[in-house]
Amino acid sequence: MDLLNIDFKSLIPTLVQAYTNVYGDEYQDLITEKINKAYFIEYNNYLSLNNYVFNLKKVMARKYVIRFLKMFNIDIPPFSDYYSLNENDIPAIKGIFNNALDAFLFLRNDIPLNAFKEGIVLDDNTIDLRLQLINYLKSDNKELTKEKFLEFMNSSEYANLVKKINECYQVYQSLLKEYQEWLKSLERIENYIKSENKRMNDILAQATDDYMEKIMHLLPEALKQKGENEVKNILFDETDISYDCDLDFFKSETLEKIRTLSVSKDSIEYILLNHYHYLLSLGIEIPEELLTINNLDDVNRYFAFLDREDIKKLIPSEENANYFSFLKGVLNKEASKKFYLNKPEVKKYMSQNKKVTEEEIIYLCELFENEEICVLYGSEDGKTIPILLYTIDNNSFGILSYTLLHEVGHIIDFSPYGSGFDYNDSPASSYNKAFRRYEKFNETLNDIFCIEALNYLQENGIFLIEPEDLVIKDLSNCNTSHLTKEILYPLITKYRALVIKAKVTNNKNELTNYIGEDNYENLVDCLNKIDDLTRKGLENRLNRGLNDEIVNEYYRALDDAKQIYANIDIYYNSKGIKK
Amino acid sequence: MDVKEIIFTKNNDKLIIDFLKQKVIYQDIIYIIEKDLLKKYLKNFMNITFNWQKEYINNTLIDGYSWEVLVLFNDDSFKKYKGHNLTPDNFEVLRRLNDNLLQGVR
Repeated sequence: MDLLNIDFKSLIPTLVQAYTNVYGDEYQDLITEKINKAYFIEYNNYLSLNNYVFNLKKVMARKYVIRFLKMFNIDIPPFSDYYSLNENDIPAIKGIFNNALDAFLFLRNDIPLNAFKEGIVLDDNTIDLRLQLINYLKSDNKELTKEKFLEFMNSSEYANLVKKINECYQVYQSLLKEYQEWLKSLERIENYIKSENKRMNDILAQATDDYMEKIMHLLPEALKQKGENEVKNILFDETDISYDCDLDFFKSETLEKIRTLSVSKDSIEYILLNHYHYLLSLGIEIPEELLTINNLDDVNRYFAFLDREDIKKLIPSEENANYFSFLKGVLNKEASKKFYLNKPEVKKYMSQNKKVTEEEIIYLCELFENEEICVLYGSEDGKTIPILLYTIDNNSFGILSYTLLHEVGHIIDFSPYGSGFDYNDSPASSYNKAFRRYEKFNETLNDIFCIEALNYLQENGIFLIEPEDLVIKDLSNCNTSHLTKEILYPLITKYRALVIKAKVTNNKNELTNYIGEDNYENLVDCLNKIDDLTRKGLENRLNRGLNDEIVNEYYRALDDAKQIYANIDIYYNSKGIKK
Repeated sequence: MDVKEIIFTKNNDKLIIDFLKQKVIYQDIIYIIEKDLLKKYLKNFMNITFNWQKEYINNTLIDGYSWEVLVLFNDDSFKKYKGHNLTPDNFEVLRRLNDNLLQGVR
């Protein structure tokens, strides 16, 4: 699969097949219609892609390391455990490679094996490296010291070990060559990363120059005299316009923070530090006693210093500082707009959608900047349609197919009013205002069904985006915690058909009519509570066997859930409705 | 106040910068990092987050992301910034800063 350009259209039949298997054949037409109506937008973020490529190299390098270690009859965990494997787990790796897991990755030269290369000068460093490997391989477990090493070199044991090492070295070289060949397959994606990185840096450098050009004539004379380049160095050092510079710390809003002592002591210290840096560049050192501000007297003393004629002429007026800061904000926004509007995938999207306005594109770019993977509300021919934003974010390695299937789950449940059980106009959760009341209930259900769909595909040998050997199998804590999922298993086990119907039709009554509105609300509340507890470190506490208030609250919530399910059964049975 | 640790979390992605032990932990890998690099990082980090509010929330989207930046100080006090589907204007600058730090040690 081409990661820079995922062909969603070609995946649609498989997506339909997966969710039909989960929801039932009666939903096949609905699923097909909903997925076909959706608009898919894939975009890329070079920082995340870079991280993805790093992970890819890491996993591939480990594959080679494992193959190589077999030469030493060392077995390390199977491939599925690569993700949690590090060099500390396997002492042997240290002996052979020093730092085996990145030996291939970084093509390091300082690995013990390389110290046996033919013709290498036997200096202290080489001897140290040789000793590491010899001490690992020696049969008697007696550590060979540096002092005894030269003597040991004449022994037959050493000759035998070197013979074995040389054989390994040949294998290592051939695996290394193979790995380097594989690296070439990443060239296209790495070129994209490089070019986007350069484009971003160029745009910011240009914006910084524009800023300098626009402010130079307004700067205090002493600073102006230093010339644009030196001033730029003073203000930005190795940074650019996306950072605050010393001038920003003289604007009214910032000075007000000192005047009113309205921010923490360390924030005030930070402002003063920037003033200090600025004035120092002009040869003035702020007296140390002025740099600690605890009360209004200190404030007055500090401002009296800034008001001194000889100092005042060196610092920008508040009015100018305000303007500099405003200008920087404008240029920063323009730089960001320039970067995102000229992304290859945005240009492609714009050329395919002539009707799309620049405003809409700018909104999209903001979402791109934040790497949103979500379903948006769009419109086509007067109807609301789902737009799926998809990207490879920092967290995506090994779960690209899961992420896609999860979002497709929302597309199937999509309506102009929300998704599944989650309504746009619902109030915030009483436990966390960042979430809507029914959001986590819906998310958790969506994850459970998504994992079922993914398992179905994988059991049939279908891997949507990433190949099998990259796929992370345990998704129980992906997006939602397994502790919240567990709360919903009884519901799905007993009332599966009702849950699916309510979710897919975006009509909770299809479920609540049978299990009771109050019971449903109580279950949602219970799940929200457990979700909130997981955010407060519940799982970690459970793993550590703690028995504190958070853990106790969790157990109380589990008891509540039992009671809710008992009430659900009573309600359901009293209604005499068949499932 | 001296910073002991910065923990940057976005969904399940976590970057830990340990200033005392001079190391960066990211995706199961521990990187030892030079003091000067850390000093420079901290300077830029302070610059980026100086005007941040404690919380940024937008709950109008289906899905999306949550993030948190936790700054722990030597005296065990802390500062926490967090958000859901909304970030400060210069959030991406911090992403680039973190990325540069990792590139510098990888």
